[in-house]
Amino acid sequence: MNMPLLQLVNIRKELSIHSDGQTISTVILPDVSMEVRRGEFAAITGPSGSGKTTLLYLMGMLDKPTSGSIFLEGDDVTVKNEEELAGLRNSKLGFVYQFHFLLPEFSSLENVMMPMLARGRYPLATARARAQELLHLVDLSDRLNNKPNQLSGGQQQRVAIARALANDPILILADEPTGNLDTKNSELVYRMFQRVNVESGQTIVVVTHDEAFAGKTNRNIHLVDGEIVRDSR
Amino acid sequence: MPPLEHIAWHAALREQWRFVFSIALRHLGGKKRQTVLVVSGVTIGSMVMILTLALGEGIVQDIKDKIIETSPYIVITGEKMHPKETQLYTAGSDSSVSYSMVSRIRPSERKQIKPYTETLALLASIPAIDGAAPFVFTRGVLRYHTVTRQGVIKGIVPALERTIGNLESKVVTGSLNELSFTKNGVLLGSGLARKLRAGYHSLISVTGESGRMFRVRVVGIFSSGFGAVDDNNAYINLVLAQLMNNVSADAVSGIGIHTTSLDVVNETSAHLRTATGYRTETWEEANENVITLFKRNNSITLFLVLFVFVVSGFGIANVLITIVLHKQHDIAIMKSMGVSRASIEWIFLVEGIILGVTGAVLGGIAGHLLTALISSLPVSYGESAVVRNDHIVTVERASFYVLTAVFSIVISAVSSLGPARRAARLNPVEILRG
Repeated sequence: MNMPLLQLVNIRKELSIHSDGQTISTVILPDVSMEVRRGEFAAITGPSGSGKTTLLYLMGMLDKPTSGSIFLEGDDVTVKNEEELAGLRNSKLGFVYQFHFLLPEFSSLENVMMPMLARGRYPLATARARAQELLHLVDLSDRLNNKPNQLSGGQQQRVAIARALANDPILILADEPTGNLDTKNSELVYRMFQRVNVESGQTIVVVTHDEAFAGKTNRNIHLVDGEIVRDSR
Repeated sequence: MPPLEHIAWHAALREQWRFVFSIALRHLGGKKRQTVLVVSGVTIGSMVMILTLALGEGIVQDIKDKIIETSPYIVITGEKMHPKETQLYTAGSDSSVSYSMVSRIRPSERKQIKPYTETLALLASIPAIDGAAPFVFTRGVLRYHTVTRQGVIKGIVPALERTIGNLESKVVTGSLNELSFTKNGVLLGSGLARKLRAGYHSLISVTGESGRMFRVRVVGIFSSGFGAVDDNNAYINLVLAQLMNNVSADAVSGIGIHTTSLDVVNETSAHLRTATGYRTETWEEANENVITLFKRNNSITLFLVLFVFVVSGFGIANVLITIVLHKQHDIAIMKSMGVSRASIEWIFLVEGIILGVTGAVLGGIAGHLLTALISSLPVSYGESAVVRNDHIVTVERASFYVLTAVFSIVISAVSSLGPARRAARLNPVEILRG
């Protein structure tokens, strides 16, 4: 089967800003078409305001395009309602953000368990066992019960990666995952993504400013003013 | 890595609820000080509500107890309720056509039961009745030295009075017994005695409706606990009262009746009305205005107390709005990991309900303890009080606790609805972009 994992067809995204009774419309993505194949490790680069984060959120079904269609495994997600999309995000997608966004009241283990319990996909005991394995995978077996504020930035980001992997997603989306980290930790995070990509064959799309990071991925999509100016594999 | 495991829907639902509760509890745990303050608000609301209900019900109960203790369950008064029919014309024995004249119902010139001994005999034949005492009721003027007072004077048969009430135990000086062997004796209410400045064995003069003045001796002073009764009433012997009012010896104003139990009062009263034709009134009917007054007063107080709850509702809404604002990032991240809108809403609803339930439970306990404390305190009411007692009577009912719990849960749920909706509506993209 040669169906792309994710297919974007003529995506247009406008943002409307209401102020002083006037509505100002800005086009962020005029007309983007692209596809992501299974097993790809792709980086989206581009200057600030080029629309790369918007593109990522559209891929992640957190936002809807003004026009155009997005197909996940051949299924048009732009026609689905909020509840169906939440279910899809939970079962098929994993997110990693620049500012890790772990829930501060919960331990590393509980944070990783959360996507498994949120929609009742796993029983508690299974979720705990899985979360332990995932934290072992990101080398944090000794930090299971630490709260986020007891972890370094790099460690927090690794917990976030473990959390993104919780429901064994087919697609992992990361927004500037190394934007807040030093070189050493950035390298560590890159290696984790690469390992997941190679070992489990999970597809990864990363939005990044980090040239070194982008250089090591196997696909580079360069965005300027909402248009793909370069797409190299 | 263990294989993906899809679990049964009910187990999934249980996990989702566990998820909702664990987040709700952590949120509240992270806002300990505010949580404690808000719970205290609900606690005080619940406590005050329970105390108010217990005190209100206590007053009504206190009044009812005093009424039952001192007044007859049923009183028959000499007022004919069923006028006699006078047959004017009947068209033959087989015809249904007949004319009757019914004289208009009007109170008989003098409200009397006559001959009362006949009625007493009828009452004695009814098994539900275990006591009956005739009385003559009149207004009169009492005078002692230079002090003159109006009063309600009731002529009674002391021996029979014992069968319908507990007047004897209310006599604080002298005795009811002394009245029975003192033909010209009088029992004064404590307030009346004080106003007349008369004491035990004082010789006072009484003028009844007939206008004749009689010299009577104070053989006792009673205190019923009802201000109005103690300030105005006096008891004399039935025969003296009949003399004083120019009432024939076989007539009385009414008969006080005691029944074997309070449950049969209403049916016995109805039965007596038809059997004797006289007007009957139960203790509840006779004191309806007092009882309803206090009940209405209770409703008003309760209504005001409910506002305490409304205020604690504002407290709940306030703390939840703070949490929602503070946790916007968490909400966005939960949404991006696929937590449903309903779960997000439930997280905050559950937080509000936890606050409400905790407050209701603590308030219930505090209310119970405070009620017990207040009813154990000795108090002294002024002599002018409507009802006097040596302690504050409180009555606790399970329904008070149920009502309070329901109210605090409803208020907390309603107050958290707004913040919960707001959280559920948050657009994750706007927040994640910062």
